[in-house]
Amino acid sequence: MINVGLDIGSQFVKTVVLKDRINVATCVDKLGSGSIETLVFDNYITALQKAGIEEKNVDYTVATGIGREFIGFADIQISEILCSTRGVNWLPPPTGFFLDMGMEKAIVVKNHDGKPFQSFRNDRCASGTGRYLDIAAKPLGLSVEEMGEVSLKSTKEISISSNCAVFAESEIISLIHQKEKTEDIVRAIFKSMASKVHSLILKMGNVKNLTMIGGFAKNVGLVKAIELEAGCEVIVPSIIDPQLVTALGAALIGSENEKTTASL
Amino acid sequence: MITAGIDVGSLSTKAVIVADGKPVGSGIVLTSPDTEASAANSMNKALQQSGLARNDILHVTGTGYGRINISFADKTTTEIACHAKGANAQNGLVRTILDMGGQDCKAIRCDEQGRVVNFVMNDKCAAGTGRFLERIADLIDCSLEELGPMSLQGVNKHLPISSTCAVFAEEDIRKLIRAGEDVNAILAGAFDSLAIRIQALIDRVGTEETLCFSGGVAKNVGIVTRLEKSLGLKIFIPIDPQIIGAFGAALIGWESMQ
Repeated sequence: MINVGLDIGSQFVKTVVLKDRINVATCVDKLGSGSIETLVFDNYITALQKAGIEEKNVDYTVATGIGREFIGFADIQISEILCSTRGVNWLPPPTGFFLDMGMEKAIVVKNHDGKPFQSFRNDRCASGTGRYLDIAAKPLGLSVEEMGEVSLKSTKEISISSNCAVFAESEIISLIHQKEKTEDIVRAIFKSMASKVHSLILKMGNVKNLTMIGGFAKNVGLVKAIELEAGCEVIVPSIIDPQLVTALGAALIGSENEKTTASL
Repeated sequence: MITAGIDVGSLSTKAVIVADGKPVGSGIVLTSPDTEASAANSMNKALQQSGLARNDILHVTGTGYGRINISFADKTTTEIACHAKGANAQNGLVRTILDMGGQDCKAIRCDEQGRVVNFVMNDKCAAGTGRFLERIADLIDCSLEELGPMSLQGVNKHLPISSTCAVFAEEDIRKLIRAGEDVNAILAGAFDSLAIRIQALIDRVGTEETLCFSGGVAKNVGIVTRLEKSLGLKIFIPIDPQIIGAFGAALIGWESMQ
C-alpha cells in the first residue's frame, strides 16, 4: 500500500511517501514563482522517483497546508491541524501538546490521541511567526539558520520592546548602530519570539513538555529561548525532519482512510 | 507676548513661534540622533522666518517623543494636548483630531476650548500608521506623494489585502504584483485596508461637527478621500498639518504665561 502526503506551506512544499506505513522517501522544495500545482507535482514525482515507485501504483494522496486547494491531483484535501496532530502522535516520545511554527503561523495544539483537542494560534499578526525571524535576520546580514548558532554565543542580555515585526526591525537597526554585538541582538530576537509563543502556551494551561514541529524547530537558538521563556521542555523530533511531520500525518491519515474504505 | 513650541517627532522636529496666539514663523528639520541639536535647528529656522531673535521668546514648550531631551524648554507637555489645542485654535469647530505620523496614529476628542476629553492611540502595530505607507512606497518603488493619487485611480476592483498586519499585507501585495494585477488597483486595496484601521480608531472616540486631520499623512489625498467617504463628513486639513503639535505647544505656553 502506497500513501503520499503533500504539505503545501507558504514557502515550501513537502512530500512524504509511505509504503505499508513506513516512510520510504521525502522531498522538500522551495516554492518560487510559477504555477503552484506544477511545482507541487514536480516535488511529488521526485519523491516517488526517490522511492522507486511509479505514479500509477500510488493508492491514496492527501494534500494539506494553506495551498492544499490548488492541488487537483490529490484524492482529498485535509486541514493542516488534523494532519499535524496525526503526524505528531506517530512520533516518540508521546507528549500531550505540540507547537507548529511555520513562516506565517505559530500554533499550539493539545493532542488527544492523534486528534486535536484544543488549539491557540497567532492572531493574523507576523510577530511570533517565522516571518518575524525572516525580517529580523535581514539587517544583521544573517540567514535564519545561522542565527540559531550565533545566539548561543551571547553573553549579554538586551531586550527588544516592540511587538510589531516592522517596528522591531527599526529597533534592531538602532541596536546595531549602538554597537551591540550581533549574538546579543540575535538572542534578544529569539527571546522576543519566545515570549509570544509563551503567551500561546499559557492559554493552554499547564504544559510541562511539548513537541515542536515545522521548519523553525530546527533552529537551536529559538528552541532554547522557548524552553527558557516558557519553562517547559521542548522536544524536537529526531527520527524525521520536523518540517515533514505534517506531510507525514497527511500520508498516515490517507493510509487509515483507505483501510476504512476497504473494510466497508 | 512671544512664545514657541517644539515638537520632536520620530521622523521630523517642528518649531512654531507665536506672537499673542498668532503664528509668525515655523521650521521643520529631520530628527537626527542628537535630538537637542534638532530642536535648536528647528527653532533657528522658525526664528529666521519670523525675523525675531532668541531673546524675544519668553517661553518655550516642548512636546513629542523626544521632548525630555530639549534642555532649553521651560516646560513639556504631551503631544495629545498640543494637537487638540493647535487644531481647535485653527478651526473652532474641531472636536475630533486624527493625528497620523510615521510611527503612530492617534484619535483625540476635545471640547470647544481645545481641551482633551478622550483619546486612543496605536503605536504598537505598524498596520494603521504612516509606516505602512512608507513600506508600500518602497515595495512598488514610487514616492510617498505619488501613492495617494494612484490609489484613487484603481477603485473599480476590490483586491483583498490584510488590514491586521503590515507584514502580511506586504505579502498580499507581492502576490498580487506577481499575479499581474494593476498597481493602481493594488494600491486602492492597500489604502482601503489602512482606512479600515483608521476608521476603527476614530470610531472609538466618536465624531461631532468637524474632524481635523494632522500629521504628515494628512497630505495624502488617498487616505483623506476614503475617510471623508466612510465618515460621511468633510475633513478639515490645516495648511501645514505637520506643525499642528508645535503650534499647540506654543499656545499652551502662551496661556500658561497669562
